[in-house]
Amino acid sequence: MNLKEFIQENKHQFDDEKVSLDFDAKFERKLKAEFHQPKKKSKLIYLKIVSIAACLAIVFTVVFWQNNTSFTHQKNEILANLENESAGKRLEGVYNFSDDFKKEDEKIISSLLNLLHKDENTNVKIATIEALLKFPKNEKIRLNLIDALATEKDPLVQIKLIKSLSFLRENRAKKPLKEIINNSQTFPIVKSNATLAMAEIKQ
Amino acid sequence: MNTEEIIQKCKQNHYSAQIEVYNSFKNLLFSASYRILNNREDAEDIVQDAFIHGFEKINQLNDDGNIGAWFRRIAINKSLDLIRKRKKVFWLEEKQELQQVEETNEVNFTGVSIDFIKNCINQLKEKYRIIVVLYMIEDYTHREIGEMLQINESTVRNQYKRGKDKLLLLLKNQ
Repeated sequence: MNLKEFIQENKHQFDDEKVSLDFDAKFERKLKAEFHQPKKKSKLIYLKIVSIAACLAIVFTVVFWQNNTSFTHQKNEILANLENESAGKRLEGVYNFSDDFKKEDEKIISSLLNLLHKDENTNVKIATIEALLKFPKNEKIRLNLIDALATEKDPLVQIKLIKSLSFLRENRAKKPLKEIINNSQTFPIVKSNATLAMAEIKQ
Repeated sequence: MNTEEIIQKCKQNHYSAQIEVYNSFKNLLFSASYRILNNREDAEDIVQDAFIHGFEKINQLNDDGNIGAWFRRIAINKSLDLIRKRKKVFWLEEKQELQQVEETNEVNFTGVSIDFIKNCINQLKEKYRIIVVLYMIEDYTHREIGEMLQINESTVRNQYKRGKDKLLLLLKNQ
């Protein structure tokens, strides 16, 4: 019998080494830590949820930021158009505001009120009055429409203002309406509109 | 529970099955690792790593596979990795093989104790001891040992022959 055969025949005696007494407990702890820790799993799920929430927050922030950026860009464009020297551009600005803005914007309304009093173009003024009528509860707009009626000389704009204030049932418009009716310089068509509006407001 | 059921349960991460496997083979793995590393603490660390690694990869084992041999192989490979990592042993590559000698009836082992043989093996230089252990006790072929140690087969054969000659000399001088 050679040495290898002898060893193989007595192999079990070569495998008689034993682990130390505290090794079993150490191994069991390790086994549980590696494969049997529900907390670790729930922590993992929690981490997944947190990371998904973080991703969503980032997406929403980016979308909000983009929308905000695009809103600011649009607003600046309208304001620039409202102050443009070209009546066509101002008209474009008024229409863009009318079409795209559902909520009041103080800066734009201020700019529109400026056009209402100072613009020299009839079409721009009429479009401006139409745009301002989108916000009938705005006291500032109502008062400015009344003031504009008192000072306006363009008959087409006067008619637009009279109809608008009549639509708004604005009692405070009676005084300028009376002045228009009593003014000998007033166009007959403007007078008849003013008379009609006065009757409607009184009702 | 038979072996097949135990393997299946381990694949399903059953704690009790894993503990049963551990209790069945812990000393087998420890003996194999200790023979290579010659250090009890290192061998215990290897046994722990081998079981954890084995349970992680248990799906690679067929249900009818030899689970003990599978874990033992993991422990031996991890032990050899540790030796390589610590750069404790170098085997110089040898392309020329020494003259092969048939395994003959070298010594009359009557009355030779196993502890004495173990002692003699432990007296060998590490580079011989590891190859002698892998070939004589763990029963791997020269080719398998070459693959495990990442050296060529002729180097294994030569180192084995030298190691065995030294071991026989130690045994004869009892």
